Amino acid sequence: MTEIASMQDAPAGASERTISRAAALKGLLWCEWLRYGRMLVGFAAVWIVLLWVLELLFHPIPLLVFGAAYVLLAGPIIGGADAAEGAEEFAFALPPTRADRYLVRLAVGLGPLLIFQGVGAAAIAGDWPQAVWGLFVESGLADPFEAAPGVAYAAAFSAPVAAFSATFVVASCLTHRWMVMMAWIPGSLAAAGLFGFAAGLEHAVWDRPTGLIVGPVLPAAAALILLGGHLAYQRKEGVARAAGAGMSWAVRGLIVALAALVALGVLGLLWAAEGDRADSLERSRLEALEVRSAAAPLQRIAPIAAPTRAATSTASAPASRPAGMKE
Amino acid sequence: MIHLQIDPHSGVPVYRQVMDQVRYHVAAGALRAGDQLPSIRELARALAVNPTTVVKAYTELQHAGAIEMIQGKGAFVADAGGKATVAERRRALARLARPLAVEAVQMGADEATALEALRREIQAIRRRRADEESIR
Amino acid sequence: MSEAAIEARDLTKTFKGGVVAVNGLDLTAPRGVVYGLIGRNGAGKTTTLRMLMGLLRANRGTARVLGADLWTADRAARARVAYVGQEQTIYGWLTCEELCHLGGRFYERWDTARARRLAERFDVPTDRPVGALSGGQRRKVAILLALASRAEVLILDEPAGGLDPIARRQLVDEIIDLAAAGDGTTVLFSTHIITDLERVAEMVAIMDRGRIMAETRLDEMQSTTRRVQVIFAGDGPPAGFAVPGAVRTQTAGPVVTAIVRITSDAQLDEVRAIPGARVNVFDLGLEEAFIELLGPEAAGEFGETMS
Repeated sequence: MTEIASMQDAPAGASERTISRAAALKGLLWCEWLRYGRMLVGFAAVWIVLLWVLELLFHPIPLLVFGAAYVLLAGPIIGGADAAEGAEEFAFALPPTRADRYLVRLAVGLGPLLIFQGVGAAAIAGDWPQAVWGLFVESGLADPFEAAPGVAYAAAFSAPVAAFSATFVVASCLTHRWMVMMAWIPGSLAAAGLFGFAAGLEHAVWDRPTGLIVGPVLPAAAALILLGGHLAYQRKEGVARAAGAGMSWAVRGLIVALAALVALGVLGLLWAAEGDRADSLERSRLEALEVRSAAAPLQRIAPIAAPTRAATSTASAPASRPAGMKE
Repeated sequence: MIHLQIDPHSGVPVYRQVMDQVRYHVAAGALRAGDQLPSIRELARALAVNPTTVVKAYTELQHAGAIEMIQGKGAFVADAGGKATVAERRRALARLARPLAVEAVQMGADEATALEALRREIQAIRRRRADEESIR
Repeated sequence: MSEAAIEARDLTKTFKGGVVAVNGLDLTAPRGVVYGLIGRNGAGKTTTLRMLMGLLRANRGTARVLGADLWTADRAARARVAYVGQEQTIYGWLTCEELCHLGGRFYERWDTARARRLAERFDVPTDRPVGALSGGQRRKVAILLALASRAEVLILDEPAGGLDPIARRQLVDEIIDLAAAGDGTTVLFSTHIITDLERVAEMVAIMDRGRIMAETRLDEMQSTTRRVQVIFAGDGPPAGFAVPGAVRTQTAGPVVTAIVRITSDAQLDEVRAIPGARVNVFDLGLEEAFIELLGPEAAGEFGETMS
């Protein structure tokens, strides 16, 4: 009987097509875009307005603040995603692997930040907004371009990237919703620790912050953190509700690593502060000398590097360095 | 068309229930030689049971010679009685007679009572069969 | 074709705090079979299914679906299996329509027509975010996604929970259709509502305290399992009396009741032969068998396995 026959052999379905990796990742991207698209567009709009239109981001420090806001708002949400919603059981049961999900979420979260901070820092350093405006408006009212210290640019790019990465990893590995939402705390502390450590190194090598260590080291550390997170995430169990408050070895390890970073950072900062204190002592001594010598007030536009040089050069030639210290 | 009533919770396997009822209907004349039975899928849906139980029922019925399954066409009631030999009939009836005999002995009923019960059942089926014949 | 669809060997899971949820579990579901896993709440069914799906990591033993360990398998292997969890944790901000779009991207054999038909049949709104639907409707959406995926293996954890009787019957009908379609889809579902299972399962496994106590074909269990009652003439049974093939026995005065596995017609002859003993044999429904074997009066371990 045909019906019995068809029940007894089990051939593969007639309409089969293999789904390529690209198609599945596109599906994930589409899903994440639906989830976070509005938030990202909002950040982009704010970035465009602040940097290019209103030119309020004329200095790396405000850009850093923008980056910090991104870390605070987008970090836990994108990193935590499924966990924050309690949807991990559903998410992990779908065909895409945990690795796929992690990478897609990372791209959606970190990609925009890299653009905001990277392009932003370059734009500020190169005074691009002015150039763009100059194409439209011939006003002749150009604001004097003041170059900020190199370390500020480096920090504006690297610090949020590091903070986001750490936040992302922490949020990804946790399951309790409120813990996920607070992931920016350990994330920011880790970034601060790394920054302090790198700044301390710079002080040790060059006696002043240059951004040459901060710039590469923080993103490199971020990459390592993300790699670690990738490995840890693949071992994550998907439960509908966080089962008990027990912490896995991954989370414990993470906390220890963060604590170590914070400790390093504090040491680095103390070291740098010590260096700065020495500098400022020199500076105030120099000022006292200047006042006594009744020379024209120095134009204090030059970067922090100048006083040290002034101190050393003043030390070698005390009397004869009048105005004209502008770089 | 015949109406099958099965109870999935009684503990009696569904395929056995289907078999018993089909055979009852054949015996009572509601199903005659050559009548077509519902397809496996139809019956499974109608009874809300797994199709494999229907498959098993039909397979066992075919094995017992009660129905025939024709490739591409369906399941049909087989010719009555012709297939089983005398020996086969005796074996099948002996198997069914056993529980009746056991029950009777335990109850303390005598042969006559047991045979009377059997006779009554056979007569009821024959009467039912006659009714079906007159309807057609 | 020769590999089992679902296979677990010595599967064990211990949670923090030492709770052993699954304890050396063995399970085999052949291809194309509807397999029902029954057990009390807390028996470990959900944990077992989660390990099969690669949601949880087993501490010991193996769990394979279509030959692959889903904890580590790649996307292609995982796309052959669809899952409906016990708690509905579908992305709440997506509509049913959008979830179906996702399904098409993830599952090779996704059937859009079937998804549409099921949405109509289950009467779920397709344009509202799933988070705004009731629990029962969310569960229907989850079931819809699993059925429309046309995955080769479906793993359903208490799929009928929270569904009204009409929806439960619709679910049973859909599983029957799957079985009747004959393309070898394997369905493993866990439940403690035995009435649904009896209609639609070909194989059943009884799970208790983290282990499979019995794994057998349902019709075989129904054919061979009986409640046997022996009533003796005197005050009680003779010393050392046991019903041959008994899995569980209870004695109350002159009445001995046992759940017995009947393997031959003559099995009870010697009992019947005891002078003054009256033997009654009753069919045993699955729910009754379950209660008898695992209920509070049950004495722990089975006398012998039934498979």
